Amino acid sequence: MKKRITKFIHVFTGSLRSRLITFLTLFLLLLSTGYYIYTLSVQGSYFRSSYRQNTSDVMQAIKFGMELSLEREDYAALQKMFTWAKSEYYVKFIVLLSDDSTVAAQFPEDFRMSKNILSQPPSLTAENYILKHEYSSPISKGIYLVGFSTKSLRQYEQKVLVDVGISTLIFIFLSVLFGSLLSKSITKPLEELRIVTEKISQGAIDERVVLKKGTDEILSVSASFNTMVDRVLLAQNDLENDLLEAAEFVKAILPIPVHKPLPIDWRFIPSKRLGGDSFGYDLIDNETLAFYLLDVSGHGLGAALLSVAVLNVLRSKSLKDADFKNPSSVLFALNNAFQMEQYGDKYFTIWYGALNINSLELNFSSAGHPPVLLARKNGNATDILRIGNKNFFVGGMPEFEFDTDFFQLKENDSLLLFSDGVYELERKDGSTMNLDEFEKFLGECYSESFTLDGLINELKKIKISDTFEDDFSIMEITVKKQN
Amino acid sequence: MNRKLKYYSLLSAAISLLLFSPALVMSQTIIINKTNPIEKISKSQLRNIFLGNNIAWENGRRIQIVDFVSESPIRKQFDENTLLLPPQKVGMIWVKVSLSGKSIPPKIVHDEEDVKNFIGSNEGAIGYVKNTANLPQSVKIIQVIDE
Repeated sequence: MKKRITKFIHVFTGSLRSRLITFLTLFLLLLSTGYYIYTLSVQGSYFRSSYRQNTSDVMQAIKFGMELSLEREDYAALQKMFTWAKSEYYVKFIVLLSDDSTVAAQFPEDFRMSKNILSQPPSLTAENYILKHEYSSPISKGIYLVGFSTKSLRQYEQKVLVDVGISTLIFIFLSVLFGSLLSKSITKPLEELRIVTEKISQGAIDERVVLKKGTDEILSVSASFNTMVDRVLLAQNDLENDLLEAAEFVKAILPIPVHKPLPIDWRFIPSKRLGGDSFGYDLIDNETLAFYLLDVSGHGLGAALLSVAVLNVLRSKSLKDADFKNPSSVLFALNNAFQMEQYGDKYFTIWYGALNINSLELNFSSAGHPPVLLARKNGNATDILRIGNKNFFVGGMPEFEFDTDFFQLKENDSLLLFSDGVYELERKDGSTMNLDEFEKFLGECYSESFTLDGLINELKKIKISDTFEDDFSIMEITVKKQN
Repeated sequence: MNRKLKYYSLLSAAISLLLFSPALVMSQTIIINKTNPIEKISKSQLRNIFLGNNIAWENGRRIQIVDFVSESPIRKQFDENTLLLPPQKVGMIWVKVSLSGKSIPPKIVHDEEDVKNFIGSNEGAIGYVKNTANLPQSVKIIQVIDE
């Protein structure tokens, strides 16, 4: 029941139009009620006063007619006067009293006067409004009473009640009609504006409000809205161009895929918002290959700039006190160089490996980064192994000691180094893939003919949309012993 | 007969004038329109007519009273002797008659000539005079009988 009432009230308080109509209706209802009461009271008092005036006039006419005709002893005139008085529709009775208060004459003849009539003041609410006056003439003198029916008064009051009520109802009806039309004219352009904004917010950025001729405020708001959307789109366009340029720049400083000393391939798909992924690989000396992939927190130019800065430091080997063959030493130096307080509260995760290409011994350290997945042939099947350890991310804790772990690679192993943007995808059922699921997925689709493009295509099949929300970076190193 | 009456009434008028005593002057002569078939009338009928109780003649014609103003001696005499009421009371009865509207209210005049003329020109009229001389042709005297 309470819900129903709330729903009912909501109809009148929900949309702007309903509120306008409700407000107008309430206002007019109040106005009409006021007008109704006012009219009733004014009309009522006007009619009562004119009733009093009329009856008093009749009394005066009777007194005058009686005294004059009795003085002249003109009974024909007297009778005419009485005939007139009796013909007044609201005269109910006329009584003439002698000096000794006995009834001398009366109309109608069968009228029986109650004794307390004389002592009662005239009342408009009684059935009869009774007035009394003295008269005097040579023939006789005394008191005459006239009873006036108040029926007409009550009938008139009822008539006014109904008439004014009907006209008030018509007034309310017309007002509500007018108000609803008025509010429609106000809310219609607003409604159009609402529909267009809703469409734009759902992605239909080419929608615009159709402007009609006129000068009202909503039109000018609509025009401004159109201009604003144009401007915002322009600004967004500029921003997107900037991001695209930045993405191109990030791509430009990434190393090119190589076949020596080991075949290394990669795919980098920057997200629309530009993430903070970057990666690289270098020969530190004749037998040591360093490779790494990092992911700066957040998105946009800030993340990309930090990512590029870290990449440059690693590429140029300009990191103080770092032994690039020793992952923990590199991460330790990076951690001290890129503390998040100094870089806009941005930190990053990184996976850094140093591989002896002759002995295939891999030293690695992972700072908050997903592990490298290793595909290793096991007879006809392929095992997927994780290569990773647990360290704090870079930039969060000064002087953090990173651990380095060791892994012995074998000929034909395939290493996949990637950022979380590769597997944290929204699938068609709305769920997001996790690392375990990605590992399983990779095991299912890995084969002799595995390529990165093939993986990307398979991932796109299960994704809800064609684009990647985060930067998509993946590096594949195939282990082949050098001859 | 007529002459005798005339003589008698003239004599009585003279005596009354001489003695200033209206009480001594005897009754008035009742006159009606000549077209009225009535020849005589009783005192009680007369009272009924003049006090508004009887409103029509036997032939259905409405009775139209003509009377003198209340201050006139002849009226006073008629009211007291025939109607047995003072002129004011009679006046009040006529007020009552006027209010009820049932009968034609009396026509009040100042002198006997007016009475005679009024009766002569109104078929249902009835009145009384002291002086029966020069009665118009259209007026006749009716006899009042004690009953």
